[in-house]
Amino acid sequence: MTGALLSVRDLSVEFGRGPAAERVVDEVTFDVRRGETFALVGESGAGKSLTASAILGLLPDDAVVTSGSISLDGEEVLTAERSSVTRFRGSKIGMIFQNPLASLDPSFRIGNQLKEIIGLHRPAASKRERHEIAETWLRNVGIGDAARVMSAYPHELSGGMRQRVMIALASLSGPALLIADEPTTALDAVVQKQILDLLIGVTRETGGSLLLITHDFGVVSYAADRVAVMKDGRIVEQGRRDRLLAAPSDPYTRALIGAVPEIGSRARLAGRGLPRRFRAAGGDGRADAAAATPGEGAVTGPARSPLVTVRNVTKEFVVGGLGTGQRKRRFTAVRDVSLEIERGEIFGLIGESGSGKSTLSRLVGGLLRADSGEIVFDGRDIARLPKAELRRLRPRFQFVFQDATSSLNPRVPVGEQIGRPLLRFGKAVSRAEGRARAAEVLDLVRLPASYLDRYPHELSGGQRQRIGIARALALEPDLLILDEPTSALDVSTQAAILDLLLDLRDELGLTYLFIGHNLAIVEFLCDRVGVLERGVLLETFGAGELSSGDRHPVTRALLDAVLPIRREAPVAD
Amino acid sequence: MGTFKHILWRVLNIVPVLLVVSVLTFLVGRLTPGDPIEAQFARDHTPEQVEVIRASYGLTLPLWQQYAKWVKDLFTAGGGLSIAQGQPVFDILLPNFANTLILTAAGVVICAVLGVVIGVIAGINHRRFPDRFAMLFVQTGSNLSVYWFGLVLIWIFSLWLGWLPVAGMESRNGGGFGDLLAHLVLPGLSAALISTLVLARFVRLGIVQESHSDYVRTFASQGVPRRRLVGKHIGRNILPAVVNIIGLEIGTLITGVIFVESVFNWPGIGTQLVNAVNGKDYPLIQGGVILVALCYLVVNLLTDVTVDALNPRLRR
Repeated sequence: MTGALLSVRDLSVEFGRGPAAERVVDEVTFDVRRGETFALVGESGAGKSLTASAILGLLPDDAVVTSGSISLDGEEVLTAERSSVTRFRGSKIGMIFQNPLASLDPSFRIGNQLKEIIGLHRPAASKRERHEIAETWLRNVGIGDAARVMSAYPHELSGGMRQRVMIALASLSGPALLIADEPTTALDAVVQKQILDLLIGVTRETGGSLLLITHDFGVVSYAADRVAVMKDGRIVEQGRRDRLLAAPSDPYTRALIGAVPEIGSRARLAGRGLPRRFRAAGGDGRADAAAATPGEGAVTGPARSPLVTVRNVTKEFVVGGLGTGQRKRRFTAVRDVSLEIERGEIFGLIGESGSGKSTLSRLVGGLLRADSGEIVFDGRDIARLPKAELRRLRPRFQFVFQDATSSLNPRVPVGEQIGRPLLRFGKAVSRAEGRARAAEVLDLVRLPASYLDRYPHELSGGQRQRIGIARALALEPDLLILDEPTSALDVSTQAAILDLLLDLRDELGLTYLFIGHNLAIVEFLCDRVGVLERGVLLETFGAGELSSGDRHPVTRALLDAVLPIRREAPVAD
Repeated sequence: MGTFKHILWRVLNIVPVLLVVSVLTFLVGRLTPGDPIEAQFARDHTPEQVEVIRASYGLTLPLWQQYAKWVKDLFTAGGGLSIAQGQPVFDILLPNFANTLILTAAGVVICAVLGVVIGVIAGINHRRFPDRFAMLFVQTGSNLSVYWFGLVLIWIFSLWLGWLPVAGMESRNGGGFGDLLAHLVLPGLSAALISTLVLARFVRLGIVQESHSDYVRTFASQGVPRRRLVGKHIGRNILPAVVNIIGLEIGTLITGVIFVESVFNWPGIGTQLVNAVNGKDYPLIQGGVILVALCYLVVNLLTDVTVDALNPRLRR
């Protein structure tokens, strides 16, 4: 059972042709052995997905393989005729993509999509046999009511269910190699673990190999046998998982693993008297320790006066009704929630997707009006405030959203975007003054003033999020509402942004309402944490007590879903 | 049940729209200068007699009463009497309106078939020669005038090649369905020109966009051949958009056909309406506009219902 199933040698892929061509995969060499799970890990733009696409011959139109070879089961893939590449697809290699919401055809029932693929690989199978195979596979991937799912459309299923269907669809022909490109990135932590277990189980059952593409070292640690780390199109290091995680030899790998937030790192840092900053937290804690001044992290305890008081707030949404052809339905997104956010505090909100975190934050930020209850911001009930007065209050609570790219206007230079709200709210009397203030806040988020004239597309993801924060800060708010501000970012960028948030809180005395799904971040960053489930606030507690024994079962389920990085010495299994 | 209610709701929605349309057409006729009774009867009647005639058409009543009478006539008296011809409006308009609808239908068929074919050829050959050629054709064609295009078609296919009749709806000694089809080709082509090219653009864009979608990648990764990807998956997913565009273009065609009728001497509603406008024959103009508006609304309704039925998200 040893020997390479897939062997990639010196693979290079370029975008464009001629001297302007950009090399995005650079002489990549690795083997995937029979029956193993091989992880290709790296940050965005490292070339992981393109490598996978090249294996299936599914590169984008303007990308070209310029050198190297890919052989599957001893057969060369790259030189194969187009028709035989198509033959590899599905039968020998199955692929699962990142976004389960878009990966299935929205216009056909699940059963018909599965049956189409079955028909392709087993043309001899009768209609009834195809139906049976499809249903069996749905059960294989852990779908209990297979009959209902067969006749459902993709939009009627949850993300996790759709990813299960995708796994069934990719595995039902029994491919020797399953490629999973960030299969759990778009999913909840709880679902992520189930899907990974399923992937490993399915490949074990079919005796195939799994090529797992991910940016998440937690996933690597949980699922992979061997790992290759990619950076800028190159593999910088590869080896067995346990060795690589415990003793990375390449500085980039070390930095990358070090930047991953982990539960308990806050306590570890505090124990060593180091400031609470991510970029000092990782690895052996040596990296940035010299630069940081110990003691700075000891934040002055929050003053005992709540900035925001939420009392018995309920928000209902109505769907359907007259003229829509659908029955009128109500659902309660936030139900009778009460909480207080102290001045200078970082309050974390956690819960599965759909639990009402974002709705609650929009209520607190005055973007939605509560149906009942009150939301008192600095002595005034914003749930009842007349529109004009609410408008005057708005600069004092600002939002930073998850998707930095779509939160910025792509056609306006960032300086303008920061300056305009200042003029609108009367914080600046002229454009020049707005620009000067914009330069100040850019400095706060550690960007040079020369960035004022740049357009969003000229910036990296992390820089865009810094602009988003700067735009919010320009209005000198008391409260920043951060809705998963780093979940779209790479780990190293994420660490930098979170450190920036901690610095800014100390410098400007801000209060944060932080929505997160990564419990390690929430524990590290927040002072207190609230857990939401189906709109109900189950409990609130100090961040240090996240792992304590008397947590609500829902909190514990969220905690169980965290995939820690195993750094301990490997135990043979 | 939900679907049925939904459709009923849409049908009921037509009523207020028609009401607004009827008020507008009524007012546009009355509020523009010119007096049809003067123009028609002043030459050989005394002013007193003209006044009597005016009263007999109800034109001396207050505006709102005139409107109410006209609405009543729409349902009971064939849309009222034409001032110039003295006959019920719908008796005059309906036979020709049927001819206009025949020409429109031919235009729709040509638009749907040619538009989809051009769009698919361009879309699957995105950025390659057939696409560039098709788009050049689309760009050029979009700027042609319907009159000029019609005349060129007549010159080539009727006068030069002698394949198709020059004009009219049937040959002098009559002829069956085949004869009608032969007469429909050239006016249908000219009427459908712009709509075809609009549709072709949308089909091309739809194919190009959907080709990059995740579900297409999924099925491609399972070895589904390109032909089936386009024909089945992409086709099914852009179908609602295509139906929508065709529905909108039918509206354009109904009104656009009126120009084509004059080039090809087609016995449709177009010439009648032009004459009616020149003669300020209020009832005739109003009746014609109401007919066209009703068609427009019905086509819109059918389009909406079809598009909804094609969308699985709205099916239950």
